[in-house]
Amino acid sequence: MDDAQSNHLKAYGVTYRALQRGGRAEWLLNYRGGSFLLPADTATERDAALTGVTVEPASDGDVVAVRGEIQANNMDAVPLEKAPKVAVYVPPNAAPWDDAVTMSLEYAGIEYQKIWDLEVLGGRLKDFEWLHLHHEDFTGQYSKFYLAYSGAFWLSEMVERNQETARRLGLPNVPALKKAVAREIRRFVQDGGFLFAMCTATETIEIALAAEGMDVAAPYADGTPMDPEASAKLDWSRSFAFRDVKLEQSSAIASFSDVDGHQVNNPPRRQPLGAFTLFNFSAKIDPVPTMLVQCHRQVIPDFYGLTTSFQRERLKPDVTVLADEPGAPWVKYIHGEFQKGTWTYLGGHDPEDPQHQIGDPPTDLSLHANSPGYRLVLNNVLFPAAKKRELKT
Amino acid sequence: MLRHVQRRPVLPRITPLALAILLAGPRAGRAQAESRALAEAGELERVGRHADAAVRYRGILRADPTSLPALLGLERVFTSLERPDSLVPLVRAALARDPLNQAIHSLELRVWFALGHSDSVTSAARRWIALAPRSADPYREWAFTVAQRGDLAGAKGVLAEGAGRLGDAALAQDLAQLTALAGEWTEAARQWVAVVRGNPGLLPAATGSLTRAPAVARDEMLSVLLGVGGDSTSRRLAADLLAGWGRADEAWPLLDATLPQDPQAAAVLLQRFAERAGTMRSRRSALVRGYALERLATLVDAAASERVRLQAAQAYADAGDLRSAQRMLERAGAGAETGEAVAPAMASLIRALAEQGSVEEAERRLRAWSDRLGGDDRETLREAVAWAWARRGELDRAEAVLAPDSSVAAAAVRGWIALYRGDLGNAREQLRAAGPYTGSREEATRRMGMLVLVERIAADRLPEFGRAVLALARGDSVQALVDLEQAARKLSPSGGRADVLAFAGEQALARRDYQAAEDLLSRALATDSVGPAAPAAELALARVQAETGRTEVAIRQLEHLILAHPQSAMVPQARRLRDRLRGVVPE
Repeated sequence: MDDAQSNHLKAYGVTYRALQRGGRAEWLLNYRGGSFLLPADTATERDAALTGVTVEPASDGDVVAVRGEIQANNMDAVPLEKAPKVAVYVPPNAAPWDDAVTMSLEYAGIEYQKIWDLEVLGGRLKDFEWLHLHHEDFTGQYSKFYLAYSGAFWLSEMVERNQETARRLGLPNVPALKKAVAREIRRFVQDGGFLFAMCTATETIEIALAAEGMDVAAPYADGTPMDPEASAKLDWSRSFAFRDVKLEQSSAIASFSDVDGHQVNNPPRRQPLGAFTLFNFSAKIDPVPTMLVQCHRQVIPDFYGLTTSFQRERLKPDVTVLADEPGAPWVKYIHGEFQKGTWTYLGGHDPEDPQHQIGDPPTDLSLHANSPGYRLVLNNVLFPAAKKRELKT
Repeated sequence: MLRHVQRRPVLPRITPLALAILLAGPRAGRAQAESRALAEAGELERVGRHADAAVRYRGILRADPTSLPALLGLERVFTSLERPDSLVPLVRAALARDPLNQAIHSLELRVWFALGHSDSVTSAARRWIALAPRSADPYREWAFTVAQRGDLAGAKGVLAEGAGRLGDAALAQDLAQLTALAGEWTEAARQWVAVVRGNPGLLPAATGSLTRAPAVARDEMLSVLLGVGGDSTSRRLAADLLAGWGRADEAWPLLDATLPQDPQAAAVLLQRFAERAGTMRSRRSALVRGYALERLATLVDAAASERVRLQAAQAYADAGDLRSAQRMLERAGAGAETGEAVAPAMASLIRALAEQGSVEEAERRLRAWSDRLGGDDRETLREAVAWAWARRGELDRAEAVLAPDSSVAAAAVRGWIALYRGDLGNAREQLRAAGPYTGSREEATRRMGMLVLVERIAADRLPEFGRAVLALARGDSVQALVDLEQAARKLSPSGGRADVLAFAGEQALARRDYQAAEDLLSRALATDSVGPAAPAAELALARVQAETGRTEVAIRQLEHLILAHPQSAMVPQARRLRDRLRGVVPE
């Protein structure tokens, strides 16, 4: 799918639905920006026509030629077997327009189910293969908007909803609730699940996992001050990606730690946006990272989120960097394995709304059907569909 | 924090240097040498040779340990080299020579901050306070250094200590700034009012600090400023904030009621308000801009008042308040030496008169002012007046106004006039001559859409169609639908009947007459389901179905359009509407 593709994002939906109908597909890694080879059945052709996805008919001879080109170059063909069952961790009444993954799933037409704390702690994660987290704050501090937006209806609602859930589950406060959810998510990955997180969820789930048994939340969240020595006590062996992180002690600053290189809400440390570059992996040796970076652009304009990027020096040594900003001390897109499963983090909130502010109008993806940033999100959705034996890393 | 962008104390060091250059002898020579060395160091810094730049800067400091440009240069390069500690002995040496230098004390605080030594920041600040006990500078710089590490409560504590020793007024502005930075908007608004009360000249600073408040915080800020206990200062600040938030029409009554007695002070506020209202595009903001300028004209000298009244006339005309615009023009025009000054306001007035249907008056003024208007203005206004006559149905008068005009824009108007007469042959010729780019984007799109339709009608004269299009221009869509149906009956199925019926259906949809729209569009499709009008008719029909709550039927209609007419320009719109109906993209 190079620039000839008229709707990159919906192409993922067409492929997903082909798999859902019981069909087979192949992901042609690095072939013309990463393409899909699907059977030319009536349902797929109709689906592509309705969604505006460009398809090119290929005869047997054409396919042989494509395979020859793949064999001779840094490309590979990965069979896709089964449409993964997708869950998105999101509050029950959240609109789909404030979460990049929900938006892209809706737009591409990929089925998913919303789950929240009660479902996660009720053991529902085992019903899914892929789980997405977006801007949830797993430290239980309401994204640290508590002071700046006090009195705002949406914040009051968020606080009330979380406190009520904690009460129903017999947990003492919201930070304890979120830690319990984080532990359950870790178990999901440990047992073979695929986790994809963006924005604040990346940084805060790591902090929540590392902060077992200690107070890392501001007094407004749990009634007690944050442990002043918390940074030194965090146990990073429990987390997926980060290590040696220093927590932000001030409850007035909407930043959690020094993981994020951009610090969008911390004026003295805020960094301007640049562009990030996707790494080029060996498709035949490293198909997993290759799948995750399939795109028709190698350099993509950066976009802010409460967590925009990840400081390189805070990454564990076994983390695979998928994209970074050359020359900058931070990276944008990372991946790793955790026991039987994998996790992938993409910094930032919305690839097509780089400055994203609370109250901004929702992003209309029909105006960004070729968005390279959103393609990265959708790579993650299809990657669990790849046949297991092909996953060499 | 933006504090370090402003290195205010640079100026006091430059002044003695400049004096030294005026004096002959060794001191002047040393200044020249330092200036050369600074330029070289700056160039090294620019090309990224920070270590070499550091050597040059240190060389300058050997001759003059208090050279501020060199110290600031070292601050930059040592930061890049990750050696901020190297600055410590140099700053100490500088302070030993010049212990009251504010800039060097500020630098010392920054150095300790960069090194993460908060205790040393405190000690340095305390030493500075001891040296300058009556100055607010140490508290200010200390507070903003503390704020930089995110400790806004600590920073406020520093300012409170300073206020305790120097009086509340000394650091009130800094405290208000810090409170706004902390996102405590309501409290910041309270603090800024007190600051502006003491120094009205700080109103723009207060607004600058507070306009960044998020939308959710604004109502509460306004209720504080306008609530019980509010005075003219707080209402003036509220007015200024409202103007900054793009709500000039709400701001005006507040400002109007609280203008100071002093004419000069009132003029400053009115000028500021008028400028900000002028950046907004609504008619209401144009109207309040007119009010402000009219008031301003009474407060300035005669020459300025004439200019301001002309601006007011233009603002009133833009707002559609023709009576006020004329009143302003009469008062300004009476004293105008030449027509040139009045021309822009007069052009606005003529345009507004034409748009509002006072065509005789517009044409009279156009004739009277024609020689004094610029060429572009003259042509645009002729077209506006011709349009106004055409809309009234006085097509001969419209053509007469355009007679001397051979521009493509005039061709466009002539094309429409021919169309209104039902002279489709001439209309095609003129609309083609006007081309696809003449006029605004909206007008060009409308014109090209009409040309496409007329090209498909196999007739050179069709008065029913002309009457219909004129009725649409006059806003009479009911009559237009009657005339369009009559026109369609006169055409063969392949000679434009389906196109005219589809066009009629779209007009019915636009006026939300869904029953008529569905009937006309269905008839268009029954007449010709594969011709060029069919995709547009299908899209419009799907819209009718969607807007009458038949979402599934609409989706099926759109899918039919997409699959049956894959090459049609309507397909992207159909896909988008289908996505919207399926809830895949936001409304």
